[in-house]
Amino acid sequence: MFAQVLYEGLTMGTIYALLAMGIALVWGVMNILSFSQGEFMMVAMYITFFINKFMNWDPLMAMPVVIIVMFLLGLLIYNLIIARALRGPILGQRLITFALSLVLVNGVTLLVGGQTKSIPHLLFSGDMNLGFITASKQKLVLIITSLAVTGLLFFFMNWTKIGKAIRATSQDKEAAGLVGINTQVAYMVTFGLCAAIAGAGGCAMTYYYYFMPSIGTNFMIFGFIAVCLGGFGSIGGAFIGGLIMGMIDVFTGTYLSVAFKYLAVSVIFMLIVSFRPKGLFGR
Amino acid sequence: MKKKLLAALLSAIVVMGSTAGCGQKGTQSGGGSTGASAGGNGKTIKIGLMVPLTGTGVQAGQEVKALAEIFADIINNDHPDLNLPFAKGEGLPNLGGAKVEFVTGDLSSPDIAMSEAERLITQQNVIGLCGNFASASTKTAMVPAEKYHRIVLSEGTSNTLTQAGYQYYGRAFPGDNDFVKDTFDYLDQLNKTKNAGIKTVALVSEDSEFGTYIAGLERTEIPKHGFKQVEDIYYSASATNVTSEVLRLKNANPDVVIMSSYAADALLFMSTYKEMNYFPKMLFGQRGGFMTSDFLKNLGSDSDYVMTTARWNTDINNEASKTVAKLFYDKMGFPLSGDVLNSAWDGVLLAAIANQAGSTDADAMRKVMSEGIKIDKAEDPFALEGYKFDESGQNVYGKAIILQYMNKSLKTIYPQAASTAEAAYPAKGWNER
Repeated sequence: MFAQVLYEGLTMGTIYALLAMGIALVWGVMNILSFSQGEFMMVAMYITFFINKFMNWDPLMAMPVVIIVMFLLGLLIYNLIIARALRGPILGQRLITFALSLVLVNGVTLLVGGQTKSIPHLLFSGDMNLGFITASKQKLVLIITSLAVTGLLFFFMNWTKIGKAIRATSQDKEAAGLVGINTQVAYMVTFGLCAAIAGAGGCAMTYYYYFMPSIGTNFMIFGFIAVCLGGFGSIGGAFIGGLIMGMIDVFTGTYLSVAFKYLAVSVIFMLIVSFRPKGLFGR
Repeated sequence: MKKKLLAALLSAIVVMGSTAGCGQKGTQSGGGSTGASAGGNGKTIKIGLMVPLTGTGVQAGQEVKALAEIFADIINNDHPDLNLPFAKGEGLPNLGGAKVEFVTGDLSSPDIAMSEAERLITQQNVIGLCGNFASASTKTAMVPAEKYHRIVLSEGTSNTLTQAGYQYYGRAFPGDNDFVKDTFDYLDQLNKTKNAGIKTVALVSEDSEFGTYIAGLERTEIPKHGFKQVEDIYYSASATNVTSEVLRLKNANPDVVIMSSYAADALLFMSTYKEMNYFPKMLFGQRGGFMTSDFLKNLGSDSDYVMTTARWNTDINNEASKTVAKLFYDKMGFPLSGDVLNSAWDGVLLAAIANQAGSTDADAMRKVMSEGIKIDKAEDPFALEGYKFDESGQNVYGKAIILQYMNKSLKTIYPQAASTAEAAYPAKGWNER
């Protein structure tokens, strides 16, 4: 039982981590709260659904396409909306992604309706009996996707020229500009990356979740708490924060009471913020 | 310039999205026409149709709107071939042939329901309100309804609605106490007639008024019927995972799991049950998400063996029922569900009440409700014995049935007189199907 709970906690944690990493990235670099991260995931789920419906591609096959489409969508949104908001007052900057989330939820409802969708035939389904745990193959897809996205993001940020430029911009925008870094491009790529991460997450989540236009909203609060736990601006911290959230959620619900699981998450969150206001790995 | 145009377009989507689901062909919605009269002496009477325009209930709302449009067309135009109320002739005869128009209000949350109910009453001059109300939103909508004297027909099932002393409230179908009583009577019957050996029960309930109220009733019924309660789980309907809930159920291993859930959470539970290779001998839903079209559409054969209480099913042996089911299917392309039918049917009842009263005055309409609405049983898709509302607002003829998903469709299994199939018990596990 304990091993099973651990596995389930890890799975939930990776879902929260996928959401949290996008939020942490945008906050760390652009100082913007990405309220629309859950809705980006939802849009990615619908893109995956339609690719599956019309081309019969499994979500895993569709994932590279969805990631690219979401990256481009992120670039478009940045250029049309975010870049302009960044020139305005701080409140507008903070709330612009909130408005964007409403546009996305209502826009998708308008375009495709409110029906719950799912992907009927998956490449990997069923479970594997490993003796001490029964591992769902669908959830394994989520875990592997989350680990892969985290690894790729680390590689990108630490070993590529544009990744280093983004890091430099996040540390000191003016200084980065003075040494020749195009900070606007850094911002734009960051927002695109944030949408692309949601693309990978949304695509993988269709392996497990039924979805409707409002699904992203329910995840957002957990994504933000995971970022706060791990530390704003720290991608690794957001990943760890997500894992902690998942573990607390499942362990409390299973061993204590389902009624206390969100209470436990909130208490741990308050304790960490009290003793480490910038989160576990915040700078 | 092009960028500004695109930005304006995105903004427009927000505005249009807030009325998403209102755009289907046919009847007007929102702040549409003027000049209608609540007195019935004009050309049109307006009926408030409250449906969720945002959130997880949007789909059900769109289905209710679509069916209301069908009913409005039947009432307003001559359909001599249909055996439904007001199909023959045009409009409501006792109100000078007045036409019926359904005006949409938003029911996305209880507070929105209250302001929207007030808007429909004071600005649209509706003669009454119906729609897919939950108990919580009924309570808030009743505030302006009582204040401005308008009838509300709502199928919110909480008994607190009939105990509240509302003057203008009506419920045509049973409340939670009847549904819960039927549930346990059925379990008793299975034990007696089929030697089912049901001993343990687990309750899984979402934590709003809908779930908590039903769970309270179930908790008192369990010992009365000699069962042992082994789990009592409350969860949030907006939960992103129910892993620990299912782990607890798996560990407790009850014979019967009784659930009160909405649409998205019911589906989340079903996927988690399957993923954890868990299915109890009997999985019993208390309507809600188990009666939505999304449940069957998404689960397909995975819905098999799930039971649910209900008010109506497509296999009811009644011509009016078959007619309505066909009209809905022809329009929407998927089967009609009971909860959608009763929500829109309340609109027909409001029209029938006003017609019988010869007036849209709320007190005259309430008098008709107390005396009994004259609807031919053959023209009633629910085939009820009648519609006579007691002082609390409850229709004394309302009745419940129990359904089971079998081979990707719903079959009536209880009561015996209405059943069209034998119940499949115990349910097969996921690997045995």
